[in-house]
Amino acid sequence: MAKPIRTIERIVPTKEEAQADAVQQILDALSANRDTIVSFLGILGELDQAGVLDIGHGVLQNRKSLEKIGLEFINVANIPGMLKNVILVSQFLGKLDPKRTEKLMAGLGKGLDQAMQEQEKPASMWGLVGQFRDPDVLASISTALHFLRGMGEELRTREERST
Amino acid sequence: METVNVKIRMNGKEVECEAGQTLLQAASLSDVYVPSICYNPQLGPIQTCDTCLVEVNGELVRACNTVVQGGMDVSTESALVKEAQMESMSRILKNHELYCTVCDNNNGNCIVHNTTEKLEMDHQKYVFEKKPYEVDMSHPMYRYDPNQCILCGRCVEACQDLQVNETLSIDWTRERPRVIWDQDVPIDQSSCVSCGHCVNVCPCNALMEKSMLGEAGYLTGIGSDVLEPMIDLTKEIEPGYREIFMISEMESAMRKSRIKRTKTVCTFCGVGCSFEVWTKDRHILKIEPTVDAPVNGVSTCVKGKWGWDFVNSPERLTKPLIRRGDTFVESSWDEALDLIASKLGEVKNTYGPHSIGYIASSKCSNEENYIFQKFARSVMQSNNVDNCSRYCQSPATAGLLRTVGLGGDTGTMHDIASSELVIIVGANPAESHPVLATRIKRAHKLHGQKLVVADIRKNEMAQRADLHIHPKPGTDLIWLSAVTKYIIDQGWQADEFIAQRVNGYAEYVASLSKFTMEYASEMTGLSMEELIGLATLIHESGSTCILWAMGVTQHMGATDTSTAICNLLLITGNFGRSGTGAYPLRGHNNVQGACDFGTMPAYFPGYEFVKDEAVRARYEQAWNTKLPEEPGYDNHQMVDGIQNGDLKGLYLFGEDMAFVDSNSNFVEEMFEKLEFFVVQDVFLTRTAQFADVVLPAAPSLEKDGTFTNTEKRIQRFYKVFEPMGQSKPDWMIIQEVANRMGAGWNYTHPSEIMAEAARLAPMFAGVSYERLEGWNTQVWPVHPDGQGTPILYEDKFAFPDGKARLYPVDWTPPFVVDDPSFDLHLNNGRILEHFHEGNLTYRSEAIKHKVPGAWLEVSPELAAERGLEDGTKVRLTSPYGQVKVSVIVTDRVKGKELYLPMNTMDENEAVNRLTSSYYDKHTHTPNYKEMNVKMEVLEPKGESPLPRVNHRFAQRNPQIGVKVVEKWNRPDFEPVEETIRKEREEHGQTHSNH
Repeated sequence: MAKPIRTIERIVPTKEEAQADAVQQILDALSANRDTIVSFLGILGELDQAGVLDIGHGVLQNRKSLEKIGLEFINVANIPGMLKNVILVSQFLGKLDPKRTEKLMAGLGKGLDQAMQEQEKPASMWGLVGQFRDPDVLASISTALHFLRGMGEELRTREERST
Repeated sequence: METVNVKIRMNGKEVECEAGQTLLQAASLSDVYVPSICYNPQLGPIQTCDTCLVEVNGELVRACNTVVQGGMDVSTESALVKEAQMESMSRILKNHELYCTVCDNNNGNCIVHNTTEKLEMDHQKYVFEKKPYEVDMSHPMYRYDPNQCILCGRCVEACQDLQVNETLSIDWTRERPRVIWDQDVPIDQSSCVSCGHCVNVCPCNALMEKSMLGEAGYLTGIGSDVLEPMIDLTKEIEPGYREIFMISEMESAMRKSRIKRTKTVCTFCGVGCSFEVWTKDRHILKIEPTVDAPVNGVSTCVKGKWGWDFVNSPERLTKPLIRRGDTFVESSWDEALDLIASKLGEVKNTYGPHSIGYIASSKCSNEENYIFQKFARSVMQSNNVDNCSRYCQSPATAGLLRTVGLGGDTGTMHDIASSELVIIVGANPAESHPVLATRIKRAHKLHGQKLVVADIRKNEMAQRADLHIHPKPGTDLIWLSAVTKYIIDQGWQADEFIAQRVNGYAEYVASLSKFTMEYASEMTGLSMEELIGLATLIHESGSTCILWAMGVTQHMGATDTSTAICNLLLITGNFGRSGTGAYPLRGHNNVQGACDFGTMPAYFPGYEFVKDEAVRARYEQAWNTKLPEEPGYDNHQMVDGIQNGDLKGLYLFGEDMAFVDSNSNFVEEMFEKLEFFVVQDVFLTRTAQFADVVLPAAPSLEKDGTFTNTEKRIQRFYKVFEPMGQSKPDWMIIQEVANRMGAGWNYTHPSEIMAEAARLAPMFAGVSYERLEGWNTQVWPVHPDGQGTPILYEDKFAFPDGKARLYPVDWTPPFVVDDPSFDLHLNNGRILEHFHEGNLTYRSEAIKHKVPGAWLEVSPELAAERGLEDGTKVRLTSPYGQVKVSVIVTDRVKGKELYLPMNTMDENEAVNRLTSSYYDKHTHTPNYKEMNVKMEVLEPKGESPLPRVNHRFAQRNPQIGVKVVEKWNRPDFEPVEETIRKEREEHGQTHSNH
């Protein structure tokens, strides 16, 4: 007569068996990766001596409260503003045509060279006006004026949009 | 059908489209991107999001609902279109905060995310504004976050018109509209049936599976005290969406290796839904259906969407168990297999091959059933092999074999959905085949399909029906025959069809003579008006499908009633064309496949007789052994065989026969008498408790294989997890048992088993794993070139002369207890939330929250008479046993008819304590639905067995779709084109001031 059975005698490994099993698994993994493990231990030793492990440990243990403090710090130190500026500047730089930038930078370099050369004597008013005839000076000044016009236009439309 | 083509110009190029297509479809077919957030191919145009606006002949129109017309000049990329898209998207993002990197929905398939990105949207025009509503976390399976909800209405459309549960709507009258459940109650208290449709179609994270929350992403597990400041920070520094998206893209890409997506086929009923299972290690993140799934598309039901927790249950069997005294002791595989080999061998040698029975599983794969019958027949030399279709669908199969020739549904769900008239007899697909029911409910609600339900219980389908008839229990054959006779008497029969394609008309008509309207009305209790009304409906419908299940097949006259259904369909010409046919609704995921692949005492795979010498020779050659010639025992005969001493051993897998066979007290007594009993299962079921050896099996998520659904559609499922502990797939276990007994098999993958079956059984000639890859499926019979047969009998019926056979049948009176004190009729069956007796689904806490146990449905009349109320504890007694259950009073049942669902794991509530061992004379299927009981009140007052958070207590809120017109009628609504026109004017003015 096979009466229904509800109980199962499970083979539960003893603590020692489970431990031995786990240790064996670890040993297998260690011996399979001997070189990596040895060099990793070296790095760990260095990190410990440098106190990095200690810091890391502290950070991880208190990560919950640190996360909150970190976010607060970010706001107090106006890091969002900074990040935004970084992003805007990098976007700005990204939009520039490198060829034109090169031209501008070359001009700037040459201009600096000239500016740093010893001047013969302070130029008189008329002398300055006279220099406008120099095509090099004229090119530079008209570029500067065009730049100012463009900037002004953008500034004005931004003001309109924000009012 | 011939398609008419029209030519349009799209973005300057000529494009040819099919007439009737929408611009969105035409664009998609020519690989032109048109955004579409609220549109889903299965739901159709909803028209709430306006992202699909395109320019046609200079005007903006919605691509989703504009049908192509010859000569249209369409632009999807003009400046006007771009402006419109930006405006629409900005309106959407006013309702939705983009914190994708820390969002659990950032898995590459978020439609809002993808559209924003695709449109290269950089900034939003309207600032995101929170809505003044809390997140609704009340439901145990999913949440609704109104703040993330873009009000696209996909969820409403899916709930109202696809699932047709009619719970969700958008309240457009509020200052800030939102989705509401019923009359704005918490989700958990609503009429929501937890089918998951709304969550499946949500294009963002507003509706999400709770199992995803904090689990899917790398950063999403962060608590809200840190998460919210982080979202703010991200927004604060946000340079524009595109940079944010790059970060979220990287995070999403990182998730790909962590979240595994595996296609599987659902095992909770015979409909055969397929979907992806998303997992992280052994954690199931979610069930994700797709429009590509051939049966269900985006549809799921409560069990398929949320019922998989059992896979990780600590109760799982993980090692073989051997009976030692009065306990089971865990053992090694070697020990268990050695014991089985020696004991089964001993029984076979002592008493002969016929002394062992083999019971296969309708829950297991085609390959597992194939290899099991091969084991029984070739290794053990016995045809004593059967499966649980004996408890449900054998009579339907027999009825079809008699009349039309093949034992399966004659069409697909597409035919059911497109039929003009659906008649459901003794079935409740809304609970037992939920996704199939949605197709009927949708066709009925939206497309004018007529629905007739014949059932003694007013189930959901009956409530929705145009005509619900309630015949006296067990009298279906009478009214079916009377309606058929009336149709013939009126001259409404399909003369041409009958003349060309049907044999036996004259004898059949003669056999109907007794089924007059008067006789039928007297015997069934139906009025003549009802019967004539039904006959007229069938006559007036261009196409009719009849669906039936256990209400027909679990009677003493079951095969004959199934035959009467087929006769009616033959007389009216409803076979062999789209929208027609006979549909026995298979209850388990692989009832069809288990029978198809040969776990039947008289058939090889593909329904070829074991008695047929030529067929047997084919298998003998392939398997290199002699095979037994005579059909073996079926399940019922096996149990009888134990009683009369013929059967000494039993090997059963994946079947809780002690619970689900009728008259379970008797069945258990027989199990106790077995000399040796092997059970293979995922859990220690009631049946397994009687075993000598229990082998731990792996469920579908832990193996590869194929299932065949109720449409005869073969579908592949793939391994999601490794088997738990030392459990193994059933096919592997069966092979190991066979090899211990000298088989020498070496199958390494189920595909090899299928290849062998396809080679041997002509019905599956073209079936192969390659052709079934991914979402591909094959509907049998499958020709050698791989072509399936979605509609049977288009040219000929499956008999040698190609003609169907009208088969005269007579009524068998149902079993009635011959003692008036058994004064109540006991009906029984399934419920929506639990699979069968609940062995799997009770492992899901969320499902248990909705339905913690079984209950007894009594009518208000009976409750008044006997002083019953919700929670009253009663004892039901039949001549075969008794149960104790708590009562629910409901008008779903009438008068002295009771309904006791089978969803219990407690033997004291199990309906089969009450049922008898009588059966259908042709197939031996038990007459579960024929029993009388008496009732005693044990405790007049008690806790209701069904919690108030069950959908059955709530009030639905039916409407058609999302009612987008109400959105357009809001005073603050301005059409996108209007906004753009105004903006352009303003812009123009600014310029003229220069």
